[in-house]
Amino acid sequence: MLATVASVSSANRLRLALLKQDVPSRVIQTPSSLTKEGCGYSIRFPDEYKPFVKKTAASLNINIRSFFREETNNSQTTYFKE
Amino acid sequence: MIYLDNAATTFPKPNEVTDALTAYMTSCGASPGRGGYDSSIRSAEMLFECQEEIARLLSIPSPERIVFTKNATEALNAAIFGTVDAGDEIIISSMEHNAVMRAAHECSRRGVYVKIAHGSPTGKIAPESIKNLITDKTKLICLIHSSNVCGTINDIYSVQKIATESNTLALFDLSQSAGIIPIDASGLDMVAFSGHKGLMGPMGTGCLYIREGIDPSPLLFGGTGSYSESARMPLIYPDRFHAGTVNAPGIAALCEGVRFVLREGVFEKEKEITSYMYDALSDISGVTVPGERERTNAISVICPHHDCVHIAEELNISQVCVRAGLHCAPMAHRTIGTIQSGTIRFSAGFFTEKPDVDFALSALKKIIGK
Repeated sequence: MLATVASVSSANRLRLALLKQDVPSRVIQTPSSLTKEGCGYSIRFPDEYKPFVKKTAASLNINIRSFFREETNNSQTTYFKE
Repeated sequence: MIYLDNAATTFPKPNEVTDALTAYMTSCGASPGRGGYDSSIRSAEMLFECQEEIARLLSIPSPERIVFTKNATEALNAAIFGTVDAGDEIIISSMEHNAVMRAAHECSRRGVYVKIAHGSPTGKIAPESIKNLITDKTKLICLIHSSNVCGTINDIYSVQKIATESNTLALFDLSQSAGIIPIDASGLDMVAFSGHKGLMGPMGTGCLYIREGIDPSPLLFGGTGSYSESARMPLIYPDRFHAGTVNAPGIAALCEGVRFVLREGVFEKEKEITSYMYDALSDISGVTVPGERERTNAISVICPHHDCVHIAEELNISQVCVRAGLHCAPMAHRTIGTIQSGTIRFSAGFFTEKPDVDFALSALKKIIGK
């Protein structure tokens, strides 16, 4: 799953906070099809951690723009807004 | 070489600092926040780590509100020009470096009324002298924490309290104190400092911290790697003040410098070597040492009947590096009474040892015939 945030620094803050709580995550550049404002960053994490990611972001005052579930078929990834 | 110009920039740097600079240039090299590939993400992570380490050192509650600049001058300019507008008042002290003095002069050209709180002959600014200048038009108080001329330390915490009670903002210049003496910036509005002095980083690094709830206008406008479709600078920090590519190699090295300061307990060593040099200089007959004994590492001296620049030249022949003149702070020299002569500034650092001081002072004694 992807949680899109405004900047790479917000993404890093969130990732490190998740890391401290043993939540596996990774910072990636937000796919251009998902960003209306360009050049965003996202956190990719296993779907089951969504409530946890939401809570951690809120505690850090980080605004998560959207959550997207990812599905890949035949090398084609489709994103579903949650 | 005996390097006693640590108030200008610290030297030598810890090995970890130079190693980090080299490692960044040779192994990482990517621009932070400008790509999704591993080294760019790692670079952004490193910036974040540096913010966290600085926040730990200075007790700053919001690391993301520490923005990187090319030096303290840029940080001070960003805070000043981003805060005051025509019709506002700004209060500065007579001990300010030209980084503030010239910025304030430019403010006055743009219609800002500049007031100056005058210091004592030891370079101390009484908080009350600032309080007495505040009016309902005062937008910003700008105060140097420690003088780059004579090391005198000002009570920034009392000045912040006065500013808060007066509904005014405060900006403190920590260039000569960050990494030299303990600082708790948790309750301060804005602080600016160099990365290459007490924090042991390389030249080309500086920082501005702006507490939550304050939002100065940015000094520079440009790409940040975020909100790219908007013509406006982002509101989020540090992006709001990070227009253009940051000095990532310098920040990687600065991060190691701050870790060194946190790890090595530099404050005690800095205090010990500075006190040792202060006492030894004060003991030389015919030498005057303005300022107070309790100070950061800048120790200015005057040797009557001797030109300060000439003495610095002679010391240079003996391989002793000191700085002579007005140290970019003419009003500070007026305040302590040394504007005509200038001073010779000796400033020790973490790596200065007592035999270095003994050698330098022995050379000084020979030059002035003592």
